[in-house]
Amino acid sequence: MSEFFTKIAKLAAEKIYSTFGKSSGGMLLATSILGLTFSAGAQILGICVNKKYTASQKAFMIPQELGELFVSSMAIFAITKPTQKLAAKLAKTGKIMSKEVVSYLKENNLADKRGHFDFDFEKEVSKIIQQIENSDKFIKSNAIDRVSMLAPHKSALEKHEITSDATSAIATTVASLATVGCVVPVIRNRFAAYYQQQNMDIYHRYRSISSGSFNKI
Amino acid sequence: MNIAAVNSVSFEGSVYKKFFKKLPNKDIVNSDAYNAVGQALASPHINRLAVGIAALSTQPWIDLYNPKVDKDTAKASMYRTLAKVIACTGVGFIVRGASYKLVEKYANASEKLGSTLLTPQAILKETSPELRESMLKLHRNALSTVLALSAMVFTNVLLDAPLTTMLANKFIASDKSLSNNKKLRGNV
Repeated sequence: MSEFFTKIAKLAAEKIYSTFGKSSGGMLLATSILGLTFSAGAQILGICVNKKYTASQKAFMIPQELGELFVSSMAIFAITKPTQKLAAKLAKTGKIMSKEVVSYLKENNLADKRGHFDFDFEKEVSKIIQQIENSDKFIKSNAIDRVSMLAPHKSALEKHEITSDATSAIATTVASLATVGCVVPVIRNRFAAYYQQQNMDIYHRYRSISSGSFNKI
Repeated sequence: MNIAAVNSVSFEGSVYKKFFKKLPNKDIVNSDAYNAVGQALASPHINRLAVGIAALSTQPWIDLYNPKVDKDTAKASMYRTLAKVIACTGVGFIVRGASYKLVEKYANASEKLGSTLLTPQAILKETSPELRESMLKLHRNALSTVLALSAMVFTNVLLDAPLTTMLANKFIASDKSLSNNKKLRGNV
């Protein structure tokens, strides 16, 4: 039995890696929207069966939940994704950089290029590494010397990658906080208030029909 | 709007470039602290907690002071939002945290570091340690998110929604000024 589960787990892990392993952006987008949809569905069900709410409150809360689903999904495209892209660009071009990596740029005469729209830190460092690897000094040196010649460049690359990841995570979270804390509640409430009135009109008409007073409407 | 106009505001367009150029270069003085904050926020459960705290600090107030609805609806909606944020953040934090820990335990770069049950062969065969580490990081994030989402299909219905209803009803029952606690003709 445990062998069966091990096999299933391995297969699932391989499948997830082959589908999302190289780029998780699409997966995050799809899962976020799916998660929001399931959550909204469950919450709407909860509102419908809750006897503590009045009809008027339900008429507000159901569109409020639908509004939240719609605005949150739109915010992923309108706020979160552009913020992610901007953060990646800020990190790539060195607009946001750790002091240690800034010192590295100065030492390697790259400081002037920092922050330019077309500057790509990783590409520049890779070029330097390539030049070192092709140099006579590098070819003639022993393994220990080779490692020490490349070490500062590889270290700068590594440090920059860690900072870039942090920048991306911080920027995405800030965008999510602004969305969840302000944009979503304000817009969903406006949307829900509008539909509350419409829903209550339908509700009163339905009650009138079911109580036989259709002609009085 | 013509295509040129669309391109000018698109990500690589001129409006974006102008905006980008105006941003100053920023040096991170304490990179250890900065990276620690980034790493914490990249983990799904901490991220969920941060978003939950933001929602808790603003959403109930926005609902309460909604000028477009009557006072009772505003109050009931505030209580439901409060209940929903508490329930969803609590459940989301636990489910995401458990998924992340599970993946961390069973998806390692080599047998020496722990179980490799959930590590794909492509990562195990990778010879460059740096590349293997970054591949593993992406895989762990993807796997834990998929795992958490799969679990949340059930927890949304089985835990979040009933917990929200239970908490909202408790909050509403504690507010005697609400008409929900009196006999209402419009109740369904």
